Amino acid sequence: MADSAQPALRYLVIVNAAPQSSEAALSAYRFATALLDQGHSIEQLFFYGDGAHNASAVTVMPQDEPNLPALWHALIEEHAITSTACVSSAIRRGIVDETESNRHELNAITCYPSSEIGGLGQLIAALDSAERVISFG
Amino acid sequence: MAKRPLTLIARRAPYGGDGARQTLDIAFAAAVFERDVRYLFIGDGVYQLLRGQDTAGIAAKPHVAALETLELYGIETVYVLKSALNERGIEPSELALAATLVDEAQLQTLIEGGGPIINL
Repeated sequence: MADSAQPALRYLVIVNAAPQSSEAALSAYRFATALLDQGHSIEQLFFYGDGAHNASAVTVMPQDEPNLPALWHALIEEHAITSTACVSSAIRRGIVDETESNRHELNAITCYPSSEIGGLGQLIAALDSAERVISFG
Repeated sequence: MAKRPLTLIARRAPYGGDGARQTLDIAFAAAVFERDVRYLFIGDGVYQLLRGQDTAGIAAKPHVAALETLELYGIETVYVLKSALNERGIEPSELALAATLVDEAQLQTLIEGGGPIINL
């Protein structure tokens, strides 16, 4: 629960780094977990640029390394977080849902269903409803 | 209630990474959704504003050409940290956009002016 001296806050969390090439995405995940543990909420999780890889359902990691996309997927489901991967970032990186897969005739779905593929309008809309904005990467 | 302005901080050089373009795309989206944008250029971000960028050899579109369309989106001035220009030997006359030059104290005032900040 939130500290009684600190009101619960709604966050917009922007993840702009891939899980595999820097610590930023892992830091974002840890931050998200910590703020939820403390009673705050995530108004919008937004995967942007290389961050789109965090929504990849086809990432395979060695067993002794964290599979961040799988961790995000579980966290998003558990807390019913609104999660969006930027469409122009995602399709460049092969992260597609059924709609984008059909649109581009790709014969593959690679995005976790817990994240939607959406536009920057989602990010801009969340600026109005979130009380804090933080970006990683 | 009027929407609070969105402050964007551009601090990366235009090529070699996609941070510059990502920040610009957010500016366009914000403008389309009728939100005021304060676009600040600091550090290597000032390189984005140089006129005459020739990208023929690097399979990239000239970033400055995209920045020049900001005016069409109602973003008529950008803020540039004077010391970032000085440190890089860039004269204000080399910038392609109408820029308001600011010192550190003015930059701080802009950043503290309320509203969300995105710094990619």
